[in-house]
Amino acid sequence: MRILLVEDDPILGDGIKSGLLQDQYNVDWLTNGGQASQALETDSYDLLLLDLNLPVKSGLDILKDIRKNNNTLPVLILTARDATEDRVKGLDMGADDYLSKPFDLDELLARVRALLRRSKGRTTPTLQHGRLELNPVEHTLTLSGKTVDLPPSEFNLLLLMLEDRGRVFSRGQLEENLYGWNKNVDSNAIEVHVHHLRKKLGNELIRTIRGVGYVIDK
Amino acid sequence: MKSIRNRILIWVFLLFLIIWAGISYATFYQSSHEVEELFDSELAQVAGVLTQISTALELKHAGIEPRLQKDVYGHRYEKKIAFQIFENNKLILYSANAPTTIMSKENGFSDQMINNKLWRVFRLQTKEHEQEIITAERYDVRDEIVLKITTDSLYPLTLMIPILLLIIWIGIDRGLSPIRRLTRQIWHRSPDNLEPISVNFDIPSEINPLFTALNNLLDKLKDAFERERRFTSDAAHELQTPLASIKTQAQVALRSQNKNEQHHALEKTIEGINRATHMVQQLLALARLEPLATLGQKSELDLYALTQTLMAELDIESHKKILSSASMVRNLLISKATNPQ
Repeated sequence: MRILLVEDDPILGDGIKSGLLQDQYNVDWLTNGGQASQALETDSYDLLLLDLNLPVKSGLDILKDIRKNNNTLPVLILTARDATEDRVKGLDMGADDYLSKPFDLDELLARVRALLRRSKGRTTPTLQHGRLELNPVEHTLTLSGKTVDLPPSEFNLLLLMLEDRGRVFSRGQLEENLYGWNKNVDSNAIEVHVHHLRKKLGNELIRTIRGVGYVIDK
Repeated sequence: MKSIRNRILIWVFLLFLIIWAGISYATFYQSSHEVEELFDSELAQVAGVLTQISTALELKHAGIEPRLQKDVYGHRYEKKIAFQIFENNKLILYSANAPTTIMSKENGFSDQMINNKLWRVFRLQTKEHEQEIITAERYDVRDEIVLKITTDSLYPLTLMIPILLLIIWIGIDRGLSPIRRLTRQIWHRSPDNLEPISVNFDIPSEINPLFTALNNLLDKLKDAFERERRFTSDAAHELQTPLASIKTQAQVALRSQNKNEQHHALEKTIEGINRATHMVQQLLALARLEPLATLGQKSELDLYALTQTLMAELDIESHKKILSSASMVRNLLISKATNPQ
């Protein structure tokens, strides 16, 4: 899951990013509104964590632009303004949720999970697919009731594809989603992950579509 | 406690006392003078009448006791009038209250001391009969009458004093009623109500300055409270982010199983605490600059120089972020402009 965090405070931004990384999210952290707007145009994200008081371009302006482009990206607003009218304004302008500072990291992460879940059209906390059951909260996977240990990158790849069953992911899309633009990734990293997943969970789970990418059928 | 009503009453009462005393004295003086004249003319008249009578009767009784009986007198004041009739230096008729020796040797009016009493005496001498008619009256009797007349005439005025004072008391009470109503209205205000006092009655011109001053004060207080409230709210707002960062970093450290990550998060936590501490110090410095004591005093001010000084004082250059809240800087400048120290 790729999350864009826009927070201009260096210590808070660092803290939220660390917290998200602990939960195996792929996080891009930006500190000004202008950069955030650009990133949202060129890259695709699963969730936006947005501070309202930002240099260059305010959080509310960014939010307005997103909704104007008919982008359904889930947005969670983080702000020090805790007046009810501010909250109402933020939500009315298209935010999906709202957290006032100072907040609890666990609550932030729970809201992130809930927003991601809902954006994928899911109401239950776990994902079921045949004999597979994946729990994104506890980062666990069971196959016919038996726990299967997966490294974070493989787990995230599986989660991503399970959330969008039937969608064909290109290698580039998967790389971007898992690693963002900050890391040097081996050119065949995705293929290696897919290979490992097939070995652990069976060959029929992930189908290769030649010249296009990978898909988990519905 | 000094009461306006009592003070006015005391002054009015003193004034009345002085006027009353003046009137009483004038009345007494005037009356006594008039009464003296009246009595004097009475003495003369009685003497005249006696002359006529004695001439007509041709009284020439020698050797008999020519004293008149007491019970012939009719009026209660009349008995005090004494008379003597002499013929050829011989007392031929006299009243019961008159002595037997001649009361006055000079004609006309005179004051004589007889038997330790002061008398007013009138002596009339006829030429043809060589009679001497003397009428006299005791001064203490006269004074008694004078006193009676004066006090009688002063009665109504004396009775008027308490009535007048009562009317004045009621008048003052009525006049002071706007103050009472205003007091009641202020008394019943809730402490957080700093709106100007409005009344549905006419404020007397005497207390209008007080009323206006009070409303002015309320207005200033409201401004001050508003500024204070805004400052507190801004301060709280500015502290939200540092607190959030401390909390988040601490929770990251708590959740982490990786030593390096924990160390990093704890370092960031301490960094966040240092930053928050600095910010609190800045806010306290700002709060000290927020003046409440010098409300409403205006003077010219070099804003540019002041801003520079403030920026140096508050170390804004190196902490732009902390004072980035436009409203705080604005408040600071506004408060400095309106309330220079």
